[in-house]
Amino acid sequence: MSRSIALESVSRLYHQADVLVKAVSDVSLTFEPGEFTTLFGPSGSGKTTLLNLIGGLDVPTSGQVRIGETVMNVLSPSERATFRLNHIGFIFQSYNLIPVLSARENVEFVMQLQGVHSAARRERAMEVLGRVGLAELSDRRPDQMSGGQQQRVAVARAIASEPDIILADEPTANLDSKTAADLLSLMQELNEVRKITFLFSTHDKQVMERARRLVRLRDGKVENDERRS
Amino acid sequence: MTRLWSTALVTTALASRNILRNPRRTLLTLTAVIVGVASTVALAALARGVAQQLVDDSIYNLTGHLKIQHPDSARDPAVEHTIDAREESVEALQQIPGVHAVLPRIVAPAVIRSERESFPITLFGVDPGLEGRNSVAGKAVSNGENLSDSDDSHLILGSKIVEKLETRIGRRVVVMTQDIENEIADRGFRIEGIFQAEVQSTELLFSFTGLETLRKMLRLKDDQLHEISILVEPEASLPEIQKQVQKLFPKAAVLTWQELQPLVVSMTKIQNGFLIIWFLIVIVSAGFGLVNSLLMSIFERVREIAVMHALGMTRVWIVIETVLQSFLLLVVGGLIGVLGGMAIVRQFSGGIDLSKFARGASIAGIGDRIVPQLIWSDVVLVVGLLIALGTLGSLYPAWLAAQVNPARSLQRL
Repeated sequence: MSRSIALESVSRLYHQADVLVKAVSDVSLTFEPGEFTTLFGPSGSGKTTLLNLIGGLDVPTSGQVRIGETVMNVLSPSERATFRLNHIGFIFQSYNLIPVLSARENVEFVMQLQGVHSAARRERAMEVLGRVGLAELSDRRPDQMSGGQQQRVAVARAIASEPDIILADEPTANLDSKTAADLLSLMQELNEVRKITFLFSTHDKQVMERARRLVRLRDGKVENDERRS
Repeated sequence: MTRLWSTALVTTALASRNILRNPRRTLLTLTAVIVGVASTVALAALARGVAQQLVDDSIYNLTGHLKIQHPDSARDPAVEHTIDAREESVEALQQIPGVHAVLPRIVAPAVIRSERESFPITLFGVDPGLEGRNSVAGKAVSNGENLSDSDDSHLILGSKIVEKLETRIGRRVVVMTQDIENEIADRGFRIEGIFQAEVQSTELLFSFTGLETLRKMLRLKDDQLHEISILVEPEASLPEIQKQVQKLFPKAAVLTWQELQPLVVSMTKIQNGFLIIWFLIVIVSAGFGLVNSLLMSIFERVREIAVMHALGMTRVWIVIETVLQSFLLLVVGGLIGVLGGMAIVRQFSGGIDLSKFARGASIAGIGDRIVPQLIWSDVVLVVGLLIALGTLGSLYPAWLAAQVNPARSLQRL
C-alpha cells in the first residue's frame, strides 16, 4: 500500500559549537503516493536533512513528519527502524554497501531482516541484480567492484523489497552519465509500474529533467515547488 | 522462516565476517585470550597438583583417610590413651565396602639417643606387611633393609635424623619413652634401614619398629592400640564409612583426614581463593584487550552501523551483532587456550622437578616433584568466567554501537 508523506511546519535546528544552525526551517510539504520528486538547491540548503527527517533517521526539532497514518517523530528509534524496514528504501550518495557481504547478500540484506524465505530472497536478489546488469558479479564484495557497480547494487538493494518510498540522496553523483541514465530509467519504470514514491536530493540535471515535481530549497526553506505534467 | 530467525542468521554472518575483517587485530585479540586461558589452565593444574600433593602426603604420612584413636589423643598423645581394638573389630573394619587398607599402630613419643646426639621422635610400631605401599611406614627404605614383620625389633629411621644423630646403618641407638604404667621404658635398637620422605620433617620426626616389639616395650595388652589408620577407595565414600567405623568403635574418636589436618584443609581453601583471584585477574586483563579491540572495530564501522540501522536493523540487533563478535572470539580463543593449557600440562605430566628448591618447598610441606592436575571444573570455570565476563564487557562497545546516530554518521563521513 502506497503512503503519502506530509511535513507539517517541520524545523530542524543544530548546535554547531555555539552557533544555532537552522538546517530546515518551518517546512510544510506533502508528497502523494507514486510521486517522482526532486529536492534541489545549493549545498547546505537542507535537502539531505529533509530526506533524513522523512526517513526517520533524524527527528524534527519542531513540527511533524507523517507517513500515511504514522507520525514518525513520536516513534522510538527501534520503531522507526522497523518502519523503515517495512516501508522505506534508501540510496546513498556513497553507496554504503556492507563491506563484508557480497553484492547478492547486500541486496538480500533488507529482505533477510524482513524474514523473506531464503529461496525467494535469493531469486528476487538475482532478478534485481540482473535488472541493474550485475547478475554476473553477484558474488563479488563491494571492494571488488567499481563505484558505478556499487551504486547499482545499492539501487538493487533499495528496490528489491519494493518499499512504498525510496529516498535517494545524490544517487547519481558518482556515476557516469550512461550508468546514471540507466539507473534513472529503472527507477522511473518502478515508479510508474509499482507506484513507488521516489524522493531525490540532487544537483544532477538528468534527475531534475525526469522529475515530475521539483522542490527548490534554500537556507532550509522551500523557495519553489513546481509540478510538471 | 520467521523474521527473528532470518535476522539472527544475517546477524551471525555479519559478526563472524567482521571478526575476520581485520585479521591482524583479531589475531592479537585471540592471542591475548589464548595466552590468558592457557596460562590459567596450566597454572590452575599446577596449583591443584601442589594441593593434591599436600593432601596425598598428609594421608600417606600416617594420617590415612580415617583414623580411629582415643578421644583425648589429639589433645594429649600419652601412651595410656589407647583404643580397645579386639581382633574381631579390626577384621570387621576390613569387611566394610570401600575400605582399602586397615593399618593398626602403636605410637609413642620418645627420645632417641646416639653416642653423640639425642632428639625427640615419634616411634611407630607397625605391621610392615599391612603398611605396604599404603603409608610412609611401608615405603621401601633407600638404604638398608625394611622391617620384616610385626615382631621385627630393628629400627627404621629417616635419613635426616640419622644425619643429625651422626650414626649409620648397623649402629645401635637407644630409644627412651614411657610405658603404660608410667614407668620409663628404654631399649637399644639396631638401625636396619633408612628411609627418605617427600618432606624433611617426616624424616626427622618419624621412626618405625615392629608393632609387637613396641607393644612389649610399652607393656600394652594384645587388644590395645593407639590408632588404626584406614584408607578408603573412592574417597567419596568417606562419610558413609566413617559412620560405619564409628559404630564398630563407639568409644573411640573416628576422625577424617580433614579433621586431623585442618592446616592442610585451610591451605587448600586459601589456594582455591587465590586461584579464583588469579582467574579473575587474567580474564579481566584479556577482557580489557577484547573490549579495546571491539571499540576500535566499532569506531571503524560507524558508517556501516549507521547504514544497517538506516536499512531497518534495530538497535537490539546491532547490540547482538557486536556482542556476538565478542562471544565468538571468546569461544574460539577459550577453546584453543584450553587445548594449549592441556598441552602444557601434558608436557609436564611426569612432574615438575623442584629439587633445586626442595628445601624451600619442603618447608611449605611440598615434595620435590609436583605433578600438575587438570581438573575439569577449573577449566569450565575459567572458560565460563571468560565468556561471561568478556560478553558482559562487550556490552559497553555494543551499547556505543547502538547509539550511532545514522543521520549524523552518514553525513559526517
